[in-house]
Amino acid sequence: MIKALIPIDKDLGSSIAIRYAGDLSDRIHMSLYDVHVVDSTKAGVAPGSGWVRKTWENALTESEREEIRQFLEMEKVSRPLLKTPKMLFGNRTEKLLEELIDGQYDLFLEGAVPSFNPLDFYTLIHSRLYRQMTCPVLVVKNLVPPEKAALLVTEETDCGRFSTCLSKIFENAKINLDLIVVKFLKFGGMIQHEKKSFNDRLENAEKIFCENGVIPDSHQIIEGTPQKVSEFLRKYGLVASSLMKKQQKSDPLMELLGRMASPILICWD
Amino acid sequence: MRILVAVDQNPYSERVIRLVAALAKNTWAHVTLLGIASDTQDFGESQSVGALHDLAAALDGYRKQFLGFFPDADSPYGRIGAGYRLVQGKKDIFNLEYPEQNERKDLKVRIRTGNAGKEILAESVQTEADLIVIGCDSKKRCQWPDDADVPGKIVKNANCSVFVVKEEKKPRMIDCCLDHDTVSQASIELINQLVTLYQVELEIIGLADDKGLSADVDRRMARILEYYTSRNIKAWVKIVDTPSLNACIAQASENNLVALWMGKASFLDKIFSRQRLGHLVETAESSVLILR
Repeated sequence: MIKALIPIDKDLGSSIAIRYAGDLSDRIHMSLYDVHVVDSTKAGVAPGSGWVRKTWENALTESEREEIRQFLEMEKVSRPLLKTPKMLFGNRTEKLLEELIDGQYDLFLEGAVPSFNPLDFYTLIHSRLYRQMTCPVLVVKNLVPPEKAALLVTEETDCGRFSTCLSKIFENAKINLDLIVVKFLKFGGMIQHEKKSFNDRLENAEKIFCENGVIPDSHQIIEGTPQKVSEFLRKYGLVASSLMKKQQKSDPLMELLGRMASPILICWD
Repeated sequence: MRILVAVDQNPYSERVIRLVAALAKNTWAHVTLLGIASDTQDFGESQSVGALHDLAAALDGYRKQFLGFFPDADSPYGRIGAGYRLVQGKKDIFNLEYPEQNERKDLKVRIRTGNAGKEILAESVQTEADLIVIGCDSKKRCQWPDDADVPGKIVKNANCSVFVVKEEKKPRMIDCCLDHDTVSQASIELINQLVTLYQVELEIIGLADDKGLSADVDRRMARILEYYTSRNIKAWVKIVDTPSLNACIAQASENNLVALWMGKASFLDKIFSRQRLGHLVETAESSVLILR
């Protein structure tokens, strides 16, 4: 059973994440822990210090607790999954990083509505929260049924590390797994190679995945521009990829993940 | 719902009739088929009378085509039945009257004479239309052969929603763009009908300003998403910032049906000026829906 932390705010991203997490927990063994951070950086200047400041923080926290409770009540109509979240006060990034370490979570799951500009995803990946996080991240961009997952392998993927990361998450999961070797092109359309055109990369990747207990249901090689590949992957309810924290903005994998509309599971390389 | 269908005698108008019939099957809307005869015609002249009767015959053909979608004896729009009489109503307005007009839903057939754009808009006001549907050919920059900029004028000036139907081909997706929270239930349901009709997925695009997506739009998108997903419609969400809006819509209009929710106090209405709307209608490869 993996332990997942899900930060809750009163927004569309959280609404999508809560519902998606509910659907996902029917398919993988996962217990969800929700947290809401009353962001001190957005709360304005604290009035004084000591008891006065503490009283102010408590009042803000209580006020937001009630708002979050009402928000979750609305979400509970479709998914009575989450309890009243743990309330934290302070800098959102710092508090979430502390919570991830203290709680020894296996997965961080948050909603992030995709943007037309793929660079926004790069900004998210390069945020301090993501750079300092050690556990895998599930960025829920849209609410789609997680029936089928694509496991992306590129030329740079360390299949050993990636499959080890996935093995814990997908242990006894009720999700179809497709192993997809991606070769990026700069121009043109998209080419799909069926099983008969196996190459060494795919065979090798499949062998390593199986050794680590991640057994794909199917496999294929696709070649195309990041845009075309992202359109192809739209049919998946979850796309898993390994990613380096220092991945360049211009890297085609970064562009692909930025263009993806489906939820993305990132294992740090 | 009241649908005003503006047609001429070109093939795209037949496409419009098929689409409106399919839409009416699900909504039981009141429908008016409207043809426009040029105001340069003097109906005292035998040649012009001939042109008027040609248009009336074409409209009668469209009516038959529409009713062909409702073969049951208890069709709410009545049956094909006997021929029509062309009756002049108010000045420059001619109605095609049919002997059996006891249908439960209106299916009116009318000809107006004058400037096409003005007459279609006047009819939409008179019939209190909720939606104007108009066809055009995307290969000819959406121009009507007899009065070039009719679809553009309707889109720019109508007070109700306008659906410009361009291609017969199925859109790959329906992209709905909104920037305000006063989206009417009727327009949400219209999108629902189109998704069902085309059997495609939906994308709800929220327009963000320099401070990001406003809380109102965020909440509205969440509720719209909930509405569609509860009806088993696969709906995606996306955010676009104001400077990227044109690029986003241009990209979407290559293959997708673009729907813009233009509220009275809509920021979208301000930044996406009526002039630009006309340009969108001209250049989009696929159909465009303006929701008001």
